[in-house]
Amino acid sequence: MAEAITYLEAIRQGLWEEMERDDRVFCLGEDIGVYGGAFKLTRGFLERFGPDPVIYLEHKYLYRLPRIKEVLPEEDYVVPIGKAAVRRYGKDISLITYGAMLLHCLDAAEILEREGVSAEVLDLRTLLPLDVQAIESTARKTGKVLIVHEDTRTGGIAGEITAILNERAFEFLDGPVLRVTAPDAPVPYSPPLEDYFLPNAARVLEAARRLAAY
Amino acid sequence: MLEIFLQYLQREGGPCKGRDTSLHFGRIDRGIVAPISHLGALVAVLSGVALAGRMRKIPIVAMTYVGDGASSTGDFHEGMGFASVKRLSPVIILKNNRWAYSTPVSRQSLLDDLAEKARAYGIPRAVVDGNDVLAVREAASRATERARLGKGPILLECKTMRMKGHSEHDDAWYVPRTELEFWQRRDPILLLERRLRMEGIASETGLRKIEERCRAEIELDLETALAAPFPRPESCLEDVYAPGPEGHEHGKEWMTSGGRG
Repeated sequence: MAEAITYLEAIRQGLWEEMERDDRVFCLGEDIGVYGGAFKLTRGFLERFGPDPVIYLEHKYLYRLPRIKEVLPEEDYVVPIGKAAVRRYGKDISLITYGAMLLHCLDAAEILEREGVSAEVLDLRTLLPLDVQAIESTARKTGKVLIVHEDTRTGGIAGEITAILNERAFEFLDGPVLRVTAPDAPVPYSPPLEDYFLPNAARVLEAARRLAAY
Repeated sequence: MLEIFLQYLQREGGPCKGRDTSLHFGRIDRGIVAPISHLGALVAVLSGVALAGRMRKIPIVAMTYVGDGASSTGDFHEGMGFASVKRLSPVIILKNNRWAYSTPVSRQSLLDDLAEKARAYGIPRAVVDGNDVLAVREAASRATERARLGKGPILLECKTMRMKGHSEHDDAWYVPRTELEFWQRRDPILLLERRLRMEGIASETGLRKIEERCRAEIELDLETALAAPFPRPESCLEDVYAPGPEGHEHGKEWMTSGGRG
């Protein structure tokens, strides 16, 4: 029986596999060679693949989060780029999100279910390319869309998704497209400030209830 | 010292109000410009501060600290060029501590003295033993005096060694032990103490008394900082934007309307 692995280990294994498979794949980054990266993600890569420079754009918070530990399939597999995943099916309201905010959306959806609101949770997975079809299709299905992202509000992807919905699904909407985001401020460092700054399940829930009742 | 602890512990009363990390300490009212992690960029920033001083006719000296790593980045060179052609007078301290995270200086440059880089911009340079407190003081004073007279930028390389990891999570396993041992014997405090004793300026008991006094001061400030409260959570939205016209205050809009949904 395979053991559940962290997000960090999954990235490490994925990189390793792809670099084994295709010699055009390389890593680019700071201190990822001899040092093996600040999080030890690329430790051992230099010995195996040589001194190529190493990129690295993951969510630090998820690296060792026990909640998302998963057993990976034994066989080789690839997650498609530009394809969103429905993480929970529902019919009353759509929560569109990505990254760490997915966990908050799933928590909120769980509570909504108990309150008699069936929420669909769409995990975008990639923002460029953006799975416009999946966005459009969930909006047409539920008629109510709440977008949740950790990015700051102004200029965040929620604005773009709202515009897409206006263009492609306006007639299907039964309420305004709402968003839960971080505020337009620099990310603070002090723990109570950071907690306040980051979107959470309670804020998602509050907005979702308001939209469901609209 | 208390302010430094408040900053590190992210408490109320710290200079950055809990917004920025430990090292990014700044208090513009005292002339301390908060640095960012990309230290090379500071050469241009502090040249800008010098420029502001000139434009506003305020007699200030701009000084910044970069490392061997920063001197390998493009920003450093852009800043040097800018300071030079604008005839600004920042004092640029290049703290060469031999390691830029895990990259030794030998992997960054073939120069014996990184200060040589100043030549490319027609900027005068000086090299000093960074572990000799009095030598650093003298060189810095001379550089500052020069800057005060508006005689152009200067690059002052202080040669030293990084005795710990890049940060707390880095145990610096890649640094040869012999290198650390060599520099351990050249600890700046030990060297200064030795000199003070040799020249009969201070006795062993006198030095220990100073040490005790410093320790007590540190302990007291640390306790005070640990007892201090955290800032109000919602204060993270303050000081970002100037107040807009009524009904258009950026942070407030987030809190009262769609902000939470």
